[in-house]
Amino acid sequence: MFLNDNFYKVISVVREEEMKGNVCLELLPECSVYDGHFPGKPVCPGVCNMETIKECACMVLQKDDLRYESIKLCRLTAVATPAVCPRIVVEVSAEAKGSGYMIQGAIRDEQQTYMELKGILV
Amino acid sequence: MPYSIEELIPQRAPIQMVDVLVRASEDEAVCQYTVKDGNFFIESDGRLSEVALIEHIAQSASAHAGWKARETGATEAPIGYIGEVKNFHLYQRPKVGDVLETVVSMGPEVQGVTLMRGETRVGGEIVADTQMKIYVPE
Amino acid sequence: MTREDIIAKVQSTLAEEFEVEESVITDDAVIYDTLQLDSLSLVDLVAVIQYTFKVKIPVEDLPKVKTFKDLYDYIESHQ
Repeated sequence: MFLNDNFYKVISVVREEEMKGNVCLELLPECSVYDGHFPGKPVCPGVCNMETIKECACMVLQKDDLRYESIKLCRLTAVATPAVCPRIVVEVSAEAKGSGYMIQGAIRDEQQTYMELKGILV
Repeated sequence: MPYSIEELIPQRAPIQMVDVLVRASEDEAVCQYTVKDGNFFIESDGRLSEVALIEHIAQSASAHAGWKARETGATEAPIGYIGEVKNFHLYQRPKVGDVLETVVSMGPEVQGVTLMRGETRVGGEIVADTQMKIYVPE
Repeated sequence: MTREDIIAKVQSTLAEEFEVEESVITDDAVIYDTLQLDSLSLVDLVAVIQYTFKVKIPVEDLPKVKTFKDLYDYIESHQ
């Protein structure tokens, strides 16, 4: 959970069901990742948003060390930045699969969807 | 290779994840990166998060795009964004000191979106592979 | 490849790649709408045609390939 309080701050976690919920986050503009992505032009790295979905899945599933074994498909549909979308909602739903979980995640705000992802966490 | 990596990719520390463009051709590139302690993606167990490998492969494609741009006279490294990741697989998470060697194979490009495949190894052993689309605004 | 072979191969390949029923791939159907393409997935169409038929559709030719019948004609004339 190395992005928590580093790349984002959790505002609220709502567990609708055992394996479904959404997490409201605030992006932290002072995060060091923006020093290099990109110098003078802070843009959320897509991979940080993928990691954010995983960490939110851990919160919803109440497990703290899950990993992506595979990502079937992740579409980055809009460029996210702390200025464009200071607050985001991460939606997560999961179902048990083998020793892990098949998850679907999305990152949205009121204006648009930034990412949709399907993957396996173990 | 006549170019330093800083001339080929726009990313910088703590998220710069390519040290060297080893070689490049019209539709393929080989890149190298030694995992460093200050890397943004190092977790508490001293290993890279798996998403860091996606970033490393994307930056390897970015280095190829930067090389092609420089070869045709560009004076700046183009900024590219990951548009899609497909069929990513993690096999093992590298640790500080490991040398990542990645081959990226570039496919067709349509309206700024390039399809590519990347595979990363450490000491010859597969670490991760994926397909990806990189979007470079025209 | 005969035209009939091209049609059959296009239908089976695109149905699988874009997860649609073969039955929706009809001569006059618009490719972009039928396969629900967008700026990210258009390159998949070009790639799968290039890989399957060894026919490369340059960007400037894309406007000529609106319907599936256009695609069959294009492949047939560029084999």
